[in-house]
Amino acid sequence: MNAWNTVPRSAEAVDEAALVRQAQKGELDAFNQIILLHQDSLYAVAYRILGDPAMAADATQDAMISAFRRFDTFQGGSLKAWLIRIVTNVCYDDLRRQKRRPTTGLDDLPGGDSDDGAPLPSHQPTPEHVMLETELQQAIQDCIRALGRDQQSVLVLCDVQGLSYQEVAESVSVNLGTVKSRLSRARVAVRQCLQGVAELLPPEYRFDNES
Amino acid sequence: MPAEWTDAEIEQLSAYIDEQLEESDRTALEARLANNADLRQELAVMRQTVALLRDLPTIRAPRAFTLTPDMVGQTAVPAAALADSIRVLPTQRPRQAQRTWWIPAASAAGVVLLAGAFLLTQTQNSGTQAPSVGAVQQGVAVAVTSTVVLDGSAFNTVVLDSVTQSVPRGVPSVAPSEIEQSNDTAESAINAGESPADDGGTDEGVARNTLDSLPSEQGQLQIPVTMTQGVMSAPAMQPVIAQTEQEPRFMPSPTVEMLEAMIIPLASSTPPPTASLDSDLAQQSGESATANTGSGGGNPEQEMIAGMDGLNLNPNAPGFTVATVSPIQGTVIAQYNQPLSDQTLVLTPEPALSVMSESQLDKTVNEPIWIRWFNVLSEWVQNLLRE
Repeated sequence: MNAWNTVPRSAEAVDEAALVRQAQKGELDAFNQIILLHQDSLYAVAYRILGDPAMAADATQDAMISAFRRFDTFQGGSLKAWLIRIVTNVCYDDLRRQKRRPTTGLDDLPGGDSDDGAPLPSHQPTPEHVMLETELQQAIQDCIRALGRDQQSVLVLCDVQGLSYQEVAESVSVNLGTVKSRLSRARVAVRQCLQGVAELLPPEYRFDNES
Repeated sequence: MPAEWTDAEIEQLSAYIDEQLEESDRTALEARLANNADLRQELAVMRQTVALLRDLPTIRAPRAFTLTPDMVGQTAVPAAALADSIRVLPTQRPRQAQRTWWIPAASAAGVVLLAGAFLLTQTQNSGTQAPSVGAVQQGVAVAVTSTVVLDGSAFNTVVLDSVTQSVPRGVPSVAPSEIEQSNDTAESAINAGESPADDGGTDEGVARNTLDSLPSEQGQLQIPVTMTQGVMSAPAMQPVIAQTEQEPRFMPSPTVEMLEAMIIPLASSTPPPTASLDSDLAQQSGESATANTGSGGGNPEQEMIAGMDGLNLNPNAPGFTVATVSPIQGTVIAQYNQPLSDQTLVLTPEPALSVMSESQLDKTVNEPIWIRWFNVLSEWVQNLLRE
């Protein structure tokens, strides 16, 4: 399923502005409704950055708590972009922490809970393509994670999550020109990375077919 | 990236894919693409990369990430539990946990003692203007707002219906909506306000000023308060309006016991002992019990501090009986729905700031509770003897 044009569930049917007003008064119910509107996107961003379902879930939850506590600082604009910024910040904080103190949890050992691979996508691939798709998705995920933070966040938000340039700019607090340049470099980097796993690519995506 | 393409060219291709190029740039690029097979190939490869990324499966959240009150330091308190915890007198709630054990006991004993004494007073002085027990209980009902024990930084909201605002003489009025504004904004509003005291302002003037500042006579007031380790407080460093011409000043957030003083029966010039703290305040402010409604004579020399004005529940409006708490948000909703006759309940988000002198404020904060109880009883006895 293409994530590019997906719209948050029911986002258009809900008066988000009203929810924001209520949530800014500390109403947890209203804030929870906001979470429900955006949690898929927020979790997906966390997963693409962290590459681990459990870590992504923890980061998303932490980000929501942080967002609620800081919600009075939300000054308007794209709420989704604001939430994504918090999520990405939490993710990169986690990665920094992990880098400083690398640990291997029991779940990471063979047979552990985290040995289950990526979370199931919203659509189930056919059995014939399970292996190929899983490996390809993992390869793309690895390429995304190999990017530097600046390029990674822009690429994930724009190409994976389908945010507009403007929303990406708000999310990462840079101007549109920076978004464009980071995105172009990130795309080239991913392409070069994927050339290393060309055999996994569907025929129509094999870059060397173009020549 | 092939060596022959510059960063600018790659950036153009990338933006072209997303239709983010200016019209002139797009036209120029398309002209180049028409004549340059290598550039077309580069564009195709980039398109494929983007398509691969966009074709990644949508990841859905494995669970809901909604928050519970516990997660954000809020604790849901059932309304019934709040009703059970109504206390008549403001009590000193110690900040240290080890001091908490005797507070409820002392409070309970005091309540029983004072309730008995008050009933006795009612019997002996049927002609006094003391409020009825029922009225006192009603007045106390809102004190449940201060019994919510929460831990965290989330805001709770006290919502009051049927609120009218009045201010002591000489204190510029502030609309309830301004309470939620930032300190700077609120301070500006205060500075911009006209002080009736300057021209010996009449009560009518105060009242008019007050009404003008309200959207309507009957309204809803929302007071954001913070619960932290059992201490309910209004936002820290609320602007405080000084009476007469003193500079606005800032005081620390009120504590639970200050908030418990929110309800002040002011029907009598000799308030009952159950309102002794409030009578203290009324005496110190040099105003009669109805001063805060704008009919009493004030002492302009009295260094009285008013925080966001006194907020009087409309004496003609229904009484004050219901206090509920939203099970999720910890929102305290106090409702004003029974006649109070000549009783006036004074409610202010910062009672200590609105009606206490600085010395009284110090006393309230620092005095041990037994001294406060003693003072309460002594004063009551003195009042009885005087009568």
